[in-house]
Amino acid sequence: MVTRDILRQVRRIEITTRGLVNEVLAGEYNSVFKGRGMSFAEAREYQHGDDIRGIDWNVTARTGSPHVKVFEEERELTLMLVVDVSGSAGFGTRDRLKSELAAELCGVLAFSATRNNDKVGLILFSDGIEKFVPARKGRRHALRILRELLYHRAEGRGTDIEGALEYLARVTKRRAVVFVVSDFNARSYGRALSIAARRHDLNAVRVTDPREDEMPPLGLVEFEDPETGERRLVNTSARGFQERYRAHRAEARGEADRLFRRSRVEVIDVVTGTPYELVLRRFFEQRARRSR
Amino acid sequence: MILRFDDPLLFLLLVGVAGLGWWHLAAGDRRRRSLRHPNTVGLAGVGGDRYRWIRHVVPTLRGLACVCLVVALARPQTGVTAENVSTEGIDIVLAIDVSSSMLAEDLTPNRLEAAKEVAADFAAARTSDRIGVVIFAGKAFTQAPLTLDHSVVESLIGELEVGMVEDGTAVGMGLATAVKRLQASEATSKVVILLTDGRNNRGEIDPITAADAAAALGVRVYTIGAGAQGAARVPVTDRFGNRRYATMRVDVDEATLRATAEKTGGRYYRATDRRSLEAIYAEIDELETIAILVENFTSYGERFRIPLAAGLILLLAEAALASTWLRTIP
Repeated sequence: MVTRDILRQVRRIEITTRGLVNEVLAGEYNSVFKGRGMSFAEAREYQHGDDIRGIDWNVTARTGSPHVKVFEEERELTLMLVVDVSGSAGFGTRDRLKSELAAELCGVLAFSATRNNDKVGLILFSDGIEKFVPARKGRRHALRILRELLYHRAEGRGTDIEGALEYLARVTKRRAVVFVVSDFNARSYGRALSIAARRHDLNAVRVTDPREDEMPPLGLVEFEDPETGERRLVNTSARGFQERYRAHRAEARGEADRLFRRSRVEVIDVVTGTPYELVLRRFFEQRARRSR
Repeated sequence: MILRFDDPLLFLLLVGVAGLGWWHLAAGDRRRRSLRHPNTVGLAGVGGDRYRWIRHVVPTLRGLACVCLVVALARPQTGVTAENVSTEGIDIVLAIDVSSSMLAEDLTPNRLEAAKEVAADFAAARTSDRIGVVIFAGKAFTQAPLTLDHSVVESLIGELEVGMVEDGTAVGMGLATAVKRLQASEATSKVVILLTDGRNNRGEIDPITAADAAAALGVRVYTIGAGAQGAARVPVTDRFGNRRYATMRVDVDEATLRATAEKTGGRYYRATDRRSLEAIYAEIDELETIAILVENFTSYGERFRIPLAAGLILLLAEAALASTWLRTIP
């Protein structure tokens, strides 16, 4: 992609996601991701109806009239986007590639965060760390993150989620809202996931393509693994192939689901060719309901 | 049957074919187009990886087709060998005495029969030579002209018997007739084998004159005097028609025969019995052996159709398989 195309696409994503960011997710984003805790804002005079537990006795004693403490939610939170740019992300049989879908989704999240005056950071990983953009505020920064997402050409091909999560632990000092965007076509990330989930508000965005879960009978197909370069000649018309493959995929997906549940990680499933807005909204609604 | 290739240099193309095969194996996966799929291993796991060999079927067919086509290009030919014996052979005239004295039984069963059998065998053995037969007694005439048809010669020899010609012994006439038969011959070697049992007592030409003529024409004359030493029993029929044996003195004119032979570069032999006669013929047979040029001719027929057809069939099979059962995507 030429730079101009990238910028145009950044622009497009900003505009098309603006509605979603402003109207749909704005409130929910704010309420869903709470700050670290409450910070003391001021003390004001007691008014009728205030909780008597909030009375600041020191101030009351000094001033002679009842005062209450006013707390403010600490809204300064960090959003970290940990995005898989491995070979398997460059796959898509519908309107776009998995990587493009991931980029757009990250754009929505980044703009939502920006709108709430939150900091957004980015980690791109494959079998190593490809790119790290420290968390900062501002629309320009969000646009930069989007640009990086679209522009970056991965050097590695494999997927090392564990390494990415370890790197995340090193670069984030405080608790952050983390979205791990990947197809989770990898092994042995369970432990790292549960460790990271304990420290951060960890969410998984699983990006898949319908063709990954089902393969129509096409006869002999020469497949190449984009991550390992491995080649296999598969007879997709073999008897029972469809069923076996579907079962295999369901099992793998179930395995990942169990892993997420054990680590208390929320999963957002987005599929290329299917609108992700609904999925995203449902996710936020559910979280909002739970946090209320 | 012989198989040969008219353009064996074209087999160098096989090096190219082998190179392509090597390339196919070495380049392996990189060359083939493929569909990228993130879960290739999973697909292969459930679809089975049993189809790996299929990749090699189409290239193998194509390679075999190439080999067949190269073989066809090299012009395979099969040939049938034919031996062509160059018979720049000898012309031999057998001059045989059929006078009544040839009935003498000192050679078994008698002189004539012995001479006939031995001569017939001789003629049969000289496959590449022209044989003629001249008989003589009181007169001489040609029983068989020079011919390569030895079966005819043999049967004509078989017909010989005493009394075909009026009695007497015209050795000179017999030799002259034989030489006459060789006059027009263009053979490199001309031979007369003259067999008699007496001395010249008839005819206008005496043996020495005939020998001169033979020498002038380059004819070699071998003379054979037949008859035991001394006397021999001869069956005779008396005036009453009775058949009885008379003892007759053997009177071979050895001096003349030897002179005749020596004038022409031949030899004189004396056959006193059947065995010595056979030995004489054998010796002459050996003396008159010339180098026979045997040429091997092989006529070749083009056989490119078979490998060509095989190659085309393989190509067709490859194309058919590649677009049906073995069609791979992409």
